[in-house]
Amino acid sequence: MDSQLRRGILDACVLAVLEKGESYGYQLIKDLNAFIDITESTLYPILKRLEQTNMLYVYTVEHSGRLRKYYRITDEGRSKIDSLLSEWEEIIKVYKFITEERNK
Amino acid sequence: MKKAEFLTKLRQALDAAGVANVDSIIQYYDELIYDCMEEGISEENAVASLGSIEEIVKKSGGEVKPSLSYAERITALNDSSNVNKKKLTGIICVSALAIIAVAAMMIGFTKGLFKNIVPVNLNFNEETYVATESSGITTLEINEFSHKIYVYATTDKDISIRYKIPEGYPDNVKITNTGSSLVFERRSLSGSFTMYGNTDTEVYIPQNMVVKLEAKNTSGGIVVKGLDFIDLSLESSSGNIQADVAKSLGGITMKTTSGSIKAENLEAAEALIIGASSGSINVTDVKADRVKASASSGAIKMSEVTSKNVDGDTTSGTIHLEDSAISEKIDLTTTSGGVKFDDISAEEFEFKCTSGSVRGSVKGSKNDYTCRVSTTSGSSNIKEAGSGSKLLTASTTSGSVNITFND
Repeated sequence: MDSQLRRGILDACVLAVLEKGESYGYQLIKDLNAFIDITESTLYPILKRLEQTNMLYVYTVEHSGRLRKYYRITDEGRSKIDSLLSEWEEIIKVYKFITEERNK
Repeated sequence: MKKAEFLTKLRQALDAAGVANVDSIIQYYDELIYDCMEEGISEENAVASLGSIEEIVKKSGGEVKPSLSYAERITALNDSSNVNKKKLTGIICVSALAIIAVAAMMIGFTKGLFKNIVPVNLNFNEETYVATESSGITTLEINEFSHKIYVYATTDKDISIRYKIPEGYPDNVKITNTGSSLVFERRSLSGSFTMYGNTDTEVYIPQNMVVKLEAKNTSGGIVVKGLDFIDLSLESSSGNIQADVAKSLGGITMKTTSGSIKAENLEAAEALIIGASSGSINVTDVKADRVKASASSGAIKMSEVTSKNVDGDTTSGTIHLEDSAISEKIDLTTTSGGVKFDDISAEEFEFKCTSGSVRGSVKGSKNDYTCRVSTTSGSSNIKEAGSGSKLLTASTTSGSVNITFND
């Protein structure tokens, strides 16, 4: 898959998981792996990018005597999912158009 | 591979690749390994599951230091920008099926698929402990987990500690006062809770009181400012340690594993010992019987040091010593970093590295020195050994040696 495209999809997947509730790195990977292949090293730049663009909010939690970072989706993150979904609707339309043209 | 080894190697590789936000990346993997192990996976397998260091470094390339060329920066910026509609439309013919499949899966799976791990939001209550009649206290011990420790001087006559405890957990902090020693201890809470706002622990010591202080923290930092001590020891695992304007009748020890250390305006009758494995060390204006600074991948920078001996060693970082008057010996060692120095004086100098260069200026004329220089593939500007009373040894394998003498 084109890397630019995959990046957009992964961003949306991470945001979609976080829309269901705040989470942390390890749990996010487990949840994401249920439907898309993602490694730890792939997730890091995504989280960083989403944080820098204010799509998610990061805070620290003490857990068993150490620190854990939690990620929470922001309103901007939610509207990002909406805009990505509407972009994909357009793509689906174009896809239908192309396949129908070919089948004529 | 064990976690510590993995994280040290990763930091070295990230530094070498010029990746920004190295600390944040290290913290991310540190947390993942812990979480993996918490599920019963062995340390080695947890590390192995993260893939190769090369892969991690390659994928961390999204944030690159601005030292890159303009073209590289533009590429990095484009990479991190949001999906562009036009580009998307341009490539749909190849990828449309895949997108639809993933999008459909995403919509289908988002319902009921996720376990919610929501931490408990705890309110913190502020408490103040005052050790009344604390004049007999000679030992003060502070043990924290993640709350940052601040130690300050006060004009009050007693030692006091201001700390926060989570509501409903009165046993979270234990304070023991025997009259001669005061111990503050934070206990671990099981489960998760969030720490909103300022939850620092502040220790106030009367400015004319001299105690032995031992402060320990796990992930939080330690800051000490403006006090005299019988002995001073500050240790953290991943937090930063900072001491500014402090005096010790004994020694001063500052140690952290992955945090960095800043030592400024310090005076110790005995040794000043500083250690940071992967963090950096910054020392300015210190006076001690001897100074030892060691790191493994972090850089060491020391200036205005007055001591009998200075010993600095690191593996992959650079070592820099400047404006320092040492009465006996200066010993600076690194493997892959360089050794740099400016305006330093001593009776004996030993500069050692493997692939880095040895360069800088020492006080005095060339005639004061006997120089022993060895390089294998690098060049040296010292052509004659000389026969002065000061001994200067510089050795490197592939780097070069460039030393100047300032009268």
